[in-house]
Amino acid sequence: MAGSAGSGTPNGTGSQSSGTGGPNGSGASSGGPITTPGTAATADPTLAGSMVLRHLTQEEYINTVRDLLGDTSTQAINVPGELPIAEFDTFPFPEPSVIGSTEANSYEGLAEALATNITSKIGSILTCTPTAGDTAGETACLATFLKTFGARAYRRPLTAAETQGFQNLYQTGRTTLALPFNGAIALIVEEMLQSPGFLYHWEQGPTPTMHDATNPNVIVLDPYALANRLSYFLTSTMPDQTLLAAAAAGQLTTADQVATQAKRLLQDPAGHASAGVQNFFAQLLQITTLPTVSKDMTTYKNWTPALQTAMDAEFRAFFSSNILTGSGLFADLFTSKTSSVNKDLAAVYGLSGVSGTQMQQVTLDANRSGFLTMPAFLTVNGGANNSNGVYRGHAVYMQLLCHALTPPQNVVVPTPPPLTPGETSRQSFAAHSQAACAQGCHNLMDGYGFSFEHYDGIGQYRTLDNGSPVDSTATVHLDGQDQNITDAVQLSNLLSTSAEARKCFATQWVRYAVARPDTDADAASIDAAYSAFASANYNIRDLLVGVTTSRTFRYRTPSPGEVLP
Amino acid sequence: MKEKYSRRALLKALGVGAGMLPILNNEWASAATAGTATAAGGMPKRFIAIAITNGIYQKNWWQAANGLDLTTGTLLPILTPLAPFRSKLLIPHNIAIQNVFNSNNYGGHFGYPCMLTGTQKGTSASIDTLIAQSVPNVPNAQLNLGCRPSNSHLSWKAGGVANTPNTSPSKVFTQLFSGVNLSPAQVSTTQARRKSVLDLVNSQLTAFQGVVGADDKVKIQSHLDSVRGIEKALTGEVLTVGCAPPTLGATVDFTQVGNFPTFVSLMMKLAATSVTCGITRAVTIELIDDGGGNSLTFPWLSVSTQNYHAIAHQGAGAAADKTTIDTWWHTQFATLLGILDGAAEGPGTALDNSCVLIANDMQEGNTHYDKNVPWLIAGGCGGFFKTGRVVELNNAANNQVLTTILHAMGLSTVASVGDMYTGNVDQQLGA
Repeated sequence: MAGSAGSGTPNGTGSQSSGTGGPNGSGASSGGPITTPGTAATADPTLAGSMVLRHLTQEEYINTVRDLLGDTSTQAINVPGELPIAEFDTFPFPEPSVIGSTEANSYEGLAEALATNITSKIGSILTCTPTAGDTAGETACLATFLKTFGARAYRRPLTAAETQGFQNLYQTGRTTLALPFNGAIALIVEEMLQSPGFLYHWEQGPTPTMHDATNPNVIVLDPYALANRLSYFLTSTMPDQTLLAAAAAGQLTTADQVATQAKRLLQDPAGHASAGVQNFFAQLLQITTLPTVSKDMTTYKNWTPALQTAMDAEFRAFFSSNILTGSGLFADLFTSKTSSVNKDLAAVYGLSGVSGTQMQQVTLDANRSGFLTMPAFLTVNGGANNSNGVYRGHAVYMQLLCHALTPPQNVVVPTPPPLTPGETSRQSFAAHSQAACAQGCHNLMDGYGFSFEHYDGIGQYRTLDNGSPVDSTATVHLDGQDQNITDAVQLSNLLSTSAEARKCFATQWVRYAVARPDTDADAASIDAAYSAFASANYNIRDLLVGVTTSRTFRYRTPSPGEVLP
Repeated sequence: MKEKYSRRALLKALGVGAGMLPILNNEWASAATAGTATAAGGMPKRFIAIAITNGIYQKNWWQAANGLDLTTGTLLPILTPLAPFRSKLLIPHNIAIQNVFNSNNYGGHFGYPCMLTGTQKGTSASIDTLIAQSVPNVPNAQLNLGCRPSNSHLSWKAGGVANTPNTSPSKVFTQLFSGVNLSPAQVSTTQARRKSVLDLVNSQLTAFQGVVGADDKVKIQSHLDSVRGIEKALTGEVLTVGCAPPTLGATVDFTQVGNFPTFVSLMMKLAATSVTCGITRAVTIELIDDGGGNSLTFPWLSVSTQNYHAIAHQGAGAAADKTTIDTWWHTQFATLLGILDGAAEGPGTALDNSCVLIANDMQEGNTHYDKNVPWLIAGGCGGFFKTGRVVELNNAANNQVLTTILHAMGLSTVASVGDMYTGNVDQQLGA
């Protein structure tokens, strides 16, 4: 099964207009409002959403300079990061901030450091080595450099005006700054790394704008923009040579061509697709906050940086191995008991016989089921010294079921006092869902959260909480009906085949792919991606290919005021 | 996001040679010409806002029974760390985060973006931005620091555009101080190189701005302004005397909660030194905004092992713990005030020429109420404020206090800040 992305699924050749047959169970009747767009019946298949102007994320920046310059020295702490998720935000992915002075200073420092590094190995980005004093040879080499390296740094060919700007900078470097040839090349690299062409996702090639025949308000995504969208979506880094060549040759035009490239990337030729898949889940479930989660080290004496690292590694590897080389099935994410642990993590699981710091494959016991019972998820959504049913319920309700919550009205909300002897975490929280003011929110999500009561603040299984038996039974409103569950294992089983969860999952991938909240213009595309997912027995690889061939991935609506080429 | 460094390791990791170090930009000498924000004797006025959340246990902070004169009598435990500066303190008592209160949103944490903007959700620039914009010739006039991942934003560049706080002491140090050790020749080489690069970045951004849509033009404008700010900084004067930046110290992993005290202390010192060295004019320090999410614990204090947010919510039920924590916060404020007050400027100190605002977004942790929020001002702002006292403001909107701070900083023509609440409290707080 390895690498068989899109195994035998019709992946929407040109038929983005899946107008009919949208997924059922859109769950409008359940708890809170669902944020997924309208049903297929109203979705206009000719629409496509807008393209967000955003700069490289922290991870994209690090990966891109790795692939562009072969430089792996960049430390995350030095790279501008993303804004944290606001508490009631239904778009779960961190968004890059606007570039202000903090960010601009950071990019300058990074560019200077990377340019210094490349100076001593400039041959790795040059295909020519002019001899000193050979002015004509230097000029020719500069031109070659701008054409080849420039197209990689900007992830599209440079325009004539851009090329001229770099030639001028080169002259300044050679004269005013008295730099040798290699030094002037490094100066150009330093500039490129701070330029909008490198920093922003706005990869417009030389092709004139093509308006769509069926809807003139919608334009075809430029082949380079598409190559970049595909690459950053699936691999969290810049396009490889094959993809850039396909863009140059006009071979990213049809849905089939895009699907072919998507499947190729999912076969992970450079080992980057695993990073892409992991990135989606780490962001969706906010595992990226793991390093700064604060735990009470008196209660959890085993809470160490090494344990945090192991939790993170287990979580990420679980998704990439299941999706890229495993079955690829949605259900398995919730039910698989195969995972990888090291000694520290084995202790959290209560597993014996695991030694060393290396992660090794294990089969987890009956108290675990898929990613929701993994320590990474339970820790990020746990309290400092106990479980936290609200955080966990909130994560399932919003991230996995795509519900919206609105901030409560102006009321005084008590939180539980410290536990009295024998009082469980759940009992202390239970009061708030009785308060009339809190019922609107907490009744909707707390059931999900309380099913996790068997796991403490760092995900260790327990039968007693503060000396009293744990109660993990709950009633949740899922797929249009109230369902009684005994614990999180049973919740995971329910979610593994839930129509609401599947639909939400497809929606989240579309949001991630276009890096913005979805709108009505995306509704038909979400349905199309979902159809690809559903007709492949809910195989995630097919869903991902379906996302890339969808209308909103390959077309866009221009922004007001935009000047089209 | 681990930050483990020593200064040397940091420079090595960055691949930065001495000649590549950022330049210290100091417009100290031109302070006298910086226009409005100037105290007597030609010294610049400075504004520092320290933001914190989860309220203060006010029964151990200040009560009416303590009297309005802060210079005599017993200070309650939470204010005790500020005793050395008691004659320079001013409590503008009984302020409301009124726009958030009106919004009918559950208050508390939602007040955070309102504190310095006077708007519900940061829909206009915060006063630190306005102050920095009033001294356009000062390159690093504005500095936004953060000590924890934040759920919302304190400082706003413009409506809807937040200023990301810098959470890396090493980056702050590099931005502000690392030119200290450069020779004039090294400085001019670096300046020339940067100018050539940034000139081109500037023109590329300008061209790019012409292509993108109207909303995106705003984003590019922020980028463009920032690049121009760096360029402007290149022409700044190089510090040669009198400025001793804090030592970054030994390798510390700042993501570990046990190192939080070291981290906060370093941020306080960086902020204070950026002011005493005459580099910055408007600084924000965000200590914590947990917004109800996963919050900080205090393993270095003898308090409950619950997190800060949970402790705060218990009110009187956890009064002793909250008092211990609040007192610890005030000890950190004292670090900053001590550095400012130890720097002689003319007849007084840097603290006398500054306005340090310590702002909380809620009254008490158990109520999360947006009225009667505990705010405190330290420093007379060049003689503008009459300090050493508590002034009853009778439910004034925080907007009016913000307007008065702008007046104190020399932006005397500003009529209002944020939404709805015009007017000021100049008379009440002024000397």
